[in-house]
Amino acid sequence: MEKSISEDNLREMEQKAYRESMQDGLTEIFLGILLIGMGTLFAVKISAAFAVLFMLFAPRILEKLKRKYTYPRMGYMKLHSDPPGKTARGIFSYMLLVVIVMATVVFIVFGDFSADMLYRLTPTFMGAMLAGALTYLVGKSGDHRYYGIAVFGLVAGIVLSIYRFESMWTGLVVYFFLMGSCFTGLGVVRFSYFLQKYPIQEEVTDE
Amino acid sequence: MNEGGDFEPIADINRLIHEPARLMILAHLYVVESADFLFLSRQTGLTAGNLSSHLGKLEEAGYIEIKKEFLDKKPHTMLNLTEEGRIAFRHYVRSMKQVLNGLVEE
Repeated sequence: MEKSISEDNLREMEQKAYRESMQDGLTEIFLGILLIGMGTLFAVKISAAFAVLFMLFAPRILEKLKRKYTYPRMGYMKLHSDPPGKTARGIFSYMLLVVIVMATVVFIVFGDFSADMLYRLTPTFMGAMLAGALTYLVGKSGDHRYYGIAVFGLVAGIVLSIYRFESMWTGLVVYFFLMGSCFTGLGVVRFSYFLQKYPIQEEVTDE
Repeated sequence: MNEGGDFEPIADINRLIHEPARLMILAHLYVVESADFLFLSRQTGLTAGNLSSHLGKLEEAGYIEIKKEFLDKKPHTMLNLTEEGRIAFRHYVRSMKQVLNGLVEE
């Protein structure tokens, strides 16, 4: 138990706490449902209200599920959060970088930049955005397995952009369903394992 | 370390924090905004009684804040580091670094 406390130790402790909070797989399930919902939205051209409603209610439902299943097993903790402005600036800067890199590569390779090509490249754009988010998760959790999903997501995006579908939106729809199914499946497996591995600890009390 | 002044960092070490269990508790609370009793118990590996006793001492020193509440009719204890605790912990880490660096240099 006795070990020196250095910046690295504290960073590792923070990462361990984050990893533990993600062990339940619920975040993956919700991300998967969101991606499948987005795919459905593009496939059947339903109103974007689904995405808005999901974004509005998902955090509340997630928190309720965590209260029921996660906190009685792992305990509750809240990590220090980054200032909202900093997070938004980071996402926007990364998005801009992805657009610039993609536009440059497309222009160099094809010497052209049409609207049709732009639509077809949306799976690559989504893959790059997902890879960015997962790389951020590696930093937060110290779990390098997220790199694997990031590479898979990016490669899947590139492959679906290159493949000539009849409709320019099909690639994006397939991408959403593919990644959504992967995340939901991964989340369900992690959640089942989590419930088996960690029983509810009702006996622990500070009294 | 032969000169009298070099012992100052050792004398400066906060004994309340220097106890391994309390150091673990403070370190875990330092990296999060808040945590509950179960989380801390799991992370530190301390028994409920032991953890409770150390938390009492840290609360008495003003280093942590303990909030007791009821969730679904069950007692629930939330913990967080106070600003005083945060400063004391940082100061402790700095003092320990000075002491250890001094020993290595000697």
